Amino acid sequence: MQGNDPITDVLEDLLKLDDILACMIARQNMISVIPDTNKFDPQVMKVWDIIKNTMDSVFGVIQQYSMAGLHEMEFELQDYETLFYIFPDTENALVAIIPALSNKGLIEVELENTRRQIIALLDNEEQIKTGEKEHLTVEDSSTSSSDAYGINVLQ
Amino acid sequence: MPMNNQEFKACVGTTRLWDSFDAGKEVARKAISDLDELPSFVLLLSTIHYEKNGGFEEFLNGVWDVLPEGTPLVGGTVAGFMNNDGCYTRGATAIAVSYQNMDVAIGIGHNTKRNPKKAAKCLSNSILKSHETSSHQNPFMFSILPGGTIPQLFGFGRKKVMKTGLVSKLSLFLLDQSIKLVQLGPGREEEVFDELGKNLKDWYILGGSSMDNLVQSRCYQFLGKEVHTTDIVGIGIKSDLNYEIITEYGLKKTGIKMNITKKGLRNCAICKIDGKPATKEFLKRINWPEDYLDDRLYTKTFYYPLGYEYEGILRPQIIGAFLGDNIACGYSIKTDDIEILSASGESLLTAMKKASEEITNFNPKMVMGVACATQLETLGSSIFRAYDKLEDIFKEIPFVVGFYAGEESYSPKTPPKQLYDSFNLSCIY
Repeated sequence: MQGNDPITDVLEDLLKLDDILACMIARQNMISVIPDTNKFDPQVMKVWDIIKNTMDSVFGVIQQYSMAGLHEMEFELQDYETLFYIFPDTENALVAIIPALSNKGLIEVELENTRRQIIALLDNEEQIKTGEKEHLTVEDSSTSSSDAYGINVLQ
Repeated sequence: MPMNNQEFKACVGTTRLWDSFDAGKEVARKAISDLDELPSFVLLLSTIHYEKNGGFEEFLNGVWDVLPEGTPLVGGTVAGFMNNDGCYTRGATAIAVSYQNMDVAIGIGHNTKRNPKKAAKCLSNSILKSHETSSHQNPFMFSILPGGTIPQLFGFGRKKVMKTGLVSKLSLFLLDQSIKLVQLGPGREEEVFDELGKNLKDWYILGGSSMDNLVQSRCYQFLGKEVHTTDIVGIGIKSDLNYEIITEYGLKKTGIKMNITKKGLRNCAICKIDGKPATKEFLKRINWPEDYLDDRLYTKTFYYPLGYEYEGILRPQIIGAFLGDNIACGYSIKTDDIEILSASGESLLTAMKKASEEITNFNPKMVMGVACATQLETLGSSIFRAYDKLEDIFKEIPFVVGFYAGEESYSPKTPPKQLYDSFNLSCIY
């Protein structure tokens, strides 16, 4: 791995796949974790503004339905498809932009692996936090917290 | 200790590393890590990604950096794989087996697309010769063939849908030339297996057609330390154990039947249906507008393969390409009547579960599977639903299922066959 934080490493690993033109972890109006954008396919950067605006609208839906079990979403815009793999019970999603004519099914398998890897990292992070909390005196029990990667984790 | 009490052991390894050499080394190390004895054989499957990250020679160099010299090894490239560790469309997996009451031989048959019969004879003869002195009775072979590929039609690009024009009219001729000259085009695997079935009558044989990431431009086969691109490789074992092959489809008959009145390309292409140009007639029968005729049509047809029954067995055909008026299929169509079949995510998952449950009835020591890559493409991330079920059914049983460009099998109980859209599991028990 490249020595970034572990989630960035996982995203950069995903980005090595030819058909992943760009990827990130995002929520509405906020990109939480993003790999080095120099590694994004330049063709995506040309249409980034319109994709970003559409993404924000989709995140409105994710925000509304993620707690109801919304798992995946996608939209096709121009020659690109944007896939959202939502982290359970959060408003965050792994977002990947792929060519519209790519073999999406094969890519989806690796997106799911990436989502699972990130969830495992977050779980691990939570366990460490819980351990630290137990070790120290627990002063309050907040309903949500932001982890080391800026991803909002609902408790 | 009596020989027949020797412990059978199988171990599965996975790598997700990108560098070819490192990945080869890691997958081999993991696959043999739990074996107490030297491996009797290794089956190695990889996705295409190492082609651009060091190459497959380097990948095998990594494998042989770890694997004991002389270990029988065959393998090839697949679109993805499932094993005890997960489900992946990037990476490599290997299953290593050690068992004393087992004789193992590896073999090769060259140029399957140019001369499938000769390739099959060459492979079967070498396997039979190697086993001449074997004291064990029960034979099984796992083979990997070159899968069908879509050639660049003489500078006109690699297209799965060609609407009209001179190239589409000439396409079948060009495709035929392409098979002969550069061995790109339909895999002709059914011709290979017809011959294997004749030469290895008592054998259980499971085969998979190697491929890339569904682009279908290239494929690789591994034999020992060698990398091949146009040859069938096989690992033939004789032991005191038993074998079984289970095949399931997630397909339903739609009742939409078509009469083929003209075929081409060694019966691999449908030129006319009821006397009318095949492509238009197919779209009409399935009730799809002609506007559908673009590169996306190819993936839509994954849900609607063609099929026919021959020798009592349903033979599904994936549509390989629409070349003008012609529909190119993966292997030769042996009847004139075909039916449009339908697949759904649910039916594919059910088939995978059913095959897995059936094979566990044999109390297997290990499971090796061959599934259709179109199922992986069709299911996408839903493949994990199948994986979760398989993991639950197999529990501690080592298993590797590759997703190939075609599935082939033969057993003393069933005729040789090439299939698409099928889920096949073999076991040693």
